[in-house]
Amino acid sequence: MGKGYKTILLKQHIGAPATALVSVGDEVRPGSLLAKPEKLGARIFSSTAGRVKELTDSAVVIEESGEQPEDFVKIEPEDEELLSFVRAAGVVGMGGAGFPTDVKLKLDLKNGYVLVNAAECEPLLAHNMKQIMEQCEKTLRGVEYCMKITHAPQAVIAIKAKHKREIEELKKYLPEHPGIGIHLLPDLYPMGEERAVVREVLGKLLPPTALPSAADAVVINVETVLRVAEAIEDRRPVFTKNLTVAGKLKRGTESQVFQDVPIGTTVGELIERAGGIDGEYGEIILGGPFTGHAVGMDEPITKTTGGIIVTEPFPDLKKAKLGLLLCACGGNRERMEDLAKKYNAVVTEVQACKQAVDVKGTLKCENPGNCPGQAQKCLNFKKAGCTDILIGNCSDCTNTVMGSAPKLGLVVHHQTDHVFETVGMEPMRYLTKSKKVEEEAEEAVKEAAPSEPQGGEESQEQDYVFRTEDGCFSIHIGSGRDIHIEVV
Amino acid sequence: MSISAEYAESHKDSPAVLCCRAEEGVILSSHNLEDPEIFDELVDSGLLNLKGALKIGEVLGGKLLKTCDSLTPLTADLVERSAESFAEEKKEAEAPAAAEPAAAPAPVQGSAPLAAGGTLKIHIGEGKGIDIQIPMGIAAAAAPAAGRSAAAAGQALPALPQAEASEKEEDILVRSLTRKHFKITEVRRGPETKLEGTVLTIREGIEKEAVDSQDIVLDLKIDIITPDQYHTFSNTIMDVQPIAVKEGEDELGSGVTRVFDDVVMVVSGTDENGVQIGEFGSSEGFLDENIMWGRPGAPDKGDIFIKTNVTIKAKMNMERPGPLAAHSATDVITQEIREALKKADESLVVGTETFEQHRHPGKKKVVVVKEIMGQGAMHDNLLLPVEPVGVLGARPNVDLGNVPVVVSPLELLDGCIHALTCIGPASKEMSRHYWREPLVLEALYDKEIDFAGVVLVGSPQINAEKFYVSRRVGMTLEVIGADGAFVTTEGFGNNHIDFASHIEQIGKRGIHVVGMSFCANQGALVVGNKYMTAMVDNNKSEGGIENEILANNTLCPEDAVRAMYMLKAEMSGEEIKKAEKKWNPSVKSQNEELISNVTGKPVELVENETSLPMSEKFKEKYM
Amino acid sequence: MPKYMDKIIDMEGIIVEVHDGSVGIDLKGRLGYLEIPMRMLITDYEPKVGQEVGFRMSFIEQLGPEVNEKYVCNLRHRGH
Repeated sequence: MGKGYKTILLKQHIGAPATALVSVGDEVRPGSLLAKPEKLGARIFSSTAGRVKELTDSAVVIEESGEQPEDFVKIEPEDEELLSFVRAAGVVGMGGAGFPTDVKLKLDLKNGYVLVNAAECEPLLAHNMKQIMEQCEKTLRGVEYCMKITHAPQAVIAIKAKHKREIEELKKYLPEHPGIGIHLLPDLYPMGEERAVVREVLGKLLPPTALPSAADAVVINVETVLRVAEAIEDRRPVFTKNLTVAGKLKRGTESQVFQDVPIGTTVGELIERAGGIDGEYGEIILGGPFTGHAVGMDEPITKTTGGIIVTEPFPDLKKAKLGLLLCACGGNRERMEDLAKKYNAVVTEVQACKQAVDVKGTLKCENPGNCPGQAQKCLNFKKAGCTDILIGNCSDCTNTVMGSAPKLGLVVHHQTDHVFETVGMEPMRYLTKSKKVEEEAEEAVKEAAPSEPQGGEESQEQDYVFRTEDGCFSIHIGSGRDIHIEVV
Repeated sequence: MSISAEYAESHKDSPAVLCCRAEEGVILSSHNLEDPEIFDELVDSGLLNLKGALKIGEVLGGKLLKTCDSLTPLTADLVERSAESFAEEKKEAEAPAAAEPAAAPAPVQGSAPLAAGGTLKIHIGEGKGIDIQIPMGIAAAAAPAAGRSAAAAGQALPALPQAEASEKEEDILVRSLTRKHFKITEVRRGPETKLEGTVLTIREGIEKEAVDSQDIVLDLKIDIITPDQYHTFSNTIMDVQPIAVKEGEDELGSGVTRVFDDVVMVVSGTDENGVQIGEFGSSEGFLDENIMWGRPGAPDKGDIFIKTNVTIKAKMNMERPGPLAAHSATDVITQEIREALKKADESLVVGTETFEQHRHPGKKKVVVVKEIMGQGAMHDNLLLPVEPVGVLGARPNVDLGNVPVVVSPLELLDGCIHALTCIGPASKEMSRHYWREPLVLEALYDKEIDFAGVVLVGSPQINAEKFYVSRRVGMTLEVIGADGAFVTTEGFGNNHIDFASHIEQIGKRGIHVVGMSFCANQGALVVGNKYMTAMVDNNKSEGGIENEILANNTLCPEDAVRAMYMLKAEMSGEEIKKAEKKWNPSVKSQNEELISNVTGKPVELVENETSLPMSEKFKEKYM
Repeated sequence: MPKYMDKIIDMEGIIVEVHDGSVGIDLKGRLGYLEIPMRMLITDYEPKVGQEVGFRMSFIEQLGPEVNEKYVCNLRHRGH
């Protein structure tokens, strides 16, 4: 549907599609309830005033009326519990995962942490940082609501150290919000991965199947926190989304942030608002360069849309024999194969990173951002006769691939290459930054940060148990380092 | 790729190389290290130079002094070594004998011989959730194994209660086999098949009966070749067989066997178009240039050959009935000779030889696994005939599904395999090979081991079937409760896939295993696994390739001796050095030297193809 | 020793004959015919006519100008 219509998808979250409550011809206003979940899911609201034009299994299409009101239909929670506001507003994880926030927050973290994910990890995206600059206080109040709901005494905002202005802004208001601290992240991909945030802040490496609650924590995106505040303070349902439009646009390649874009707006409309595409282009990515996928102009945005990126046309690899290195950081196999086709290459070999674990059909990384070595994979590509390889790896793994692939005569392409080229950034190849960051915001962190040792690998749980038949000399060491046992 | 702590421990003497970028100050753990298994390839690809690299055991726990990228070998200037790694080194240097009777990597059984009254020192720099339980008095016993992960120990089968059993030095005679030798000085043709003194007469016209016995055999000729006629052209030699028969009602593998000395049956043939049966790597040509005399499976110099030349129907040379018919037709003649031998007067016996099968409970139980070919057609063997190397009563191992068949060492030496294989004449095990199998003889006479028996397993064509049979091999050895095993194979090709799988199946049960095969240059193994650490190469050829010299690269006494020492070393806990990446014949000579240093007698080596006569042209080219 | 042994080329072929003891393989691109014993063929499935196979080989080089009389003699005996 083109202009004058909004296509609002019934599934904008993890779980089952919501069930439509409206019929064709019904009048709706912004904030009108369109659909309700029957199982795991979230409520869906209209983002516009108008009339229901069409109902399908997957979407409600609304024909917009000429005049749009300023106000919206307020939510009516079933009771005055904070969590009921969150549920009634249909809040879901806005970082991209889309897990229903009310379900996520139904936790008792008496000794735990609310970890606010402000990593804004995907390159080019900028709307999270803009939110902090413009709505810092409301965001912090949102964090407090989450702490209240979960009974967490402490919260930590995880943010990349390079965002100095935003950190200054946060620090301005932190004294009024006891219990909230800041943890600085290095500027690497994938620091925003849920388990990476837990590991970086709390020093606990969780297995791919575990939820952060296993570390007495909940990880919540910074925009989600704001939507929680809106639900509670303004009784506002989620019907808009903050996002970034970037890439090959007439207005330049600089990222443009659009706040409170009505859900259901099409990719095409947003590109137009951003100035329109500048000449020929390769593809339009919905999401970030790493985890996004290619879409058409008519694709509607949802509660989880973070970015729209228009790229340069693809270089032609002229049917080169291409190896795909799958991992959790980059696109899935479908996305990688799509890219291979766009590169005009023949997929000759597919290898998965050693640390990529299949969890319910999605690859998850056992230790995000810490490379397990890739030389063997590169040898395998070479043996399979590949001349080129396409990777979507994190900064660390990409660096390792670069340690062997070029010497083996393999040309390395990164999934983000065409995006970075569009915006004039250096392609992802070698790692020159440190994985460690000096915690400059020490005061704030100390209050909030846990007392456990930092750093992931060394404190990994290693269980050495030995039992004998007759004697029962047994040592169990949950975790630790610098351990010597000697029989003299 | 990064490695696990357990894996690092088992490769602690391999070079330490970073798998990924690691930053200054990092305490090095197995997760930082690349898998040593791929170093050869990396070195070959120019990605890695291991010069000056410390060992894995030396860097674990050490501190990295400089941020380094992936595939950086960790040299002394990059690592501040931990106190432990030095201690480890010292411990090894001081007490090499400590590793002696450590049997399988099984959990400590019974009481380990550890100095009572010693001190247990535990230092924990930092940690959480630590429980230590030490009942008084016996703590020290369990300590040395504490570092080993539970998973590894759980995999291994409990070792035999060695200490207890070794007290009784038992020697049980299981059965014996006597060979009575009859000397032959002349073979001639005559009206009746009979033995007179040392003269064997073969009935004239027997060829027709042999031909008639098989549908697809069109013609059969008998050539009697005496030593002065060795420079005779022959079609591909398909088999060399002893002529032997059981006495009375004795069964194969026990009792008395009568055998002719100085005469052998030789099967050869073509199809009616003159295409050799088993047209690959055929050893057709002049006998004296194509036979590696004296190999266990080959004729000895001085032997008279009763050589059949069988002609089978066209295009049957590659089909299963072809080679089988050639063998069966030949056996009609052999059988008539056997009957004459059976009737021969006792006074003609020129010597007897008795093989005794002893068990030595209390010693390490050892099994010989012989992989025989089973891919079909001439990749087949007839098992357990009524008469030594006969046809009657035998079952082809292909028809048996190639599953393991357990035989006694004496059954093997009594001709329980009638070999139909004719591929790769240099590495093929002829029927006569089993009759004189050096490894079985070596094991039979070794009082330091408890030789349990021989497992024959066929090598099927399809991979799934290969793994099917190798799992049965593993289970068979588990049930036998072996401590050690030899796995031998003949030739090379896809049989190396199941050869490797047999070793894996046996090895993962905690049984020590030594593999024996022709490998050298050409037969380099197709696949490998972590249990293939002890390997003996049967190669004898100069260039390390399969040639057409009959039995040249088969298992010989010198190989059996090396294998036996290797298995004993393994079973007593010594580590076998990793093989070099490329074939290096000097490894073999070094091992032989080491063995002769211990035994005080030289390992006698056999000759190879360079000892054979060659045509003038041939000499010009190669000499 | 051949001089160019490390120049390895990828080859493919089609199984055109299956015998009990061997398979015949037509090399793709009319590059020849190969008959090999069963044990030199690695199979996950029962070998059938029409299946494709792959392997690597080097070019085949003469080892020298001399004629080996031994092999010539054997050839003379073939098909006698």
